[in-house]
Amino acid sequence: MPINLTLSTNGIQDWQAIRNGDERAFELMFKGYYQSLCSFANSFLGDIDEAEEIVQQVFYSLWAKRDSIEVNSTLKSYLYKAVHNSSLNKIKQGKVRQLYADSYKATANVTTHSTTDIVQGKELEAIINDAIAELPEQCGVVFKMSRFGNLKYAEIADELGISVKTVENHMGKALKLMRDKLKDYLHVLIWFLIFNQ
Amino acid sequence: MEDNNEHIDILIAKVAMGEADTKEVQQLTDWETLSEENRLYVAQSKKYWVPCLL
Repeated sequence: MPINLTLSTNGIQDWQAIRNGDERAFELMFKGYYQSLCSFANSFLGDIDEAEEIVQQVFYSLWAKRDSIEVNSTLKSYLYKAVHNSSLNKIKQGKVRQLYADSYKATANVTTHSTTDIVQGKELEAIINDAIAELPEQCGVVFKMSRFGNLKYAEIADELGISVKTVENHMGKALKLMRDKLKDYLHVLIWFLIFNQ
Repeated sequence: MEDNNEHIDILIAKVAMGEADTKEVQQLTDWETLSEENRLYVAQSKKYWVPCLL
């Protein structure tokens, strides 16, 4: 079995190598997806430590059960789906419910600041996170999968069992709602764009 | 205006996400060039949308 030096497009070769116990292929996959999966989980949990724990558990399970796990979609889709499901289970268990609520309150308070204040870095991030948190449920899930998971519309549709057209509609709706919610912060957003080019 | 722009919002999002095909990119460009109001709408939407994606 050849050792993969880069992640393949669909992950089929990587998965075959991992199933055969190729530790280097597993390490490559871990390094390739760990950060973005943590960001993805964090978007649901609002706690980076919990997010990292979830992602580590998903990778651990994948390795430990590699003989019995069937990856029917792409490896990337499998990982995002597993992290998505584990994150939702964690929330349902209520272990992070209070933390999530506190985090939500903290970011919600930021929007009461005067728009003439100089809002930078983390504050802008809090404003955007607050706006994302206020998106309708399905719309928010689709937007987060796109933003944090870097998933294509077709991949999101596949993960959620909805049509690509519905994903398009959710993203268009997210654009409208984000524009409405952020309209008082246009000057900050322009500042952000200028200094992040 | 709002209802009419629902389709335009979908197009702007698709173009920004790299999901639009050539025909859709052209469709948005055509709409954009219809009026100054349309041009501003697309330009401002991108200013809101891009930081949200980073």
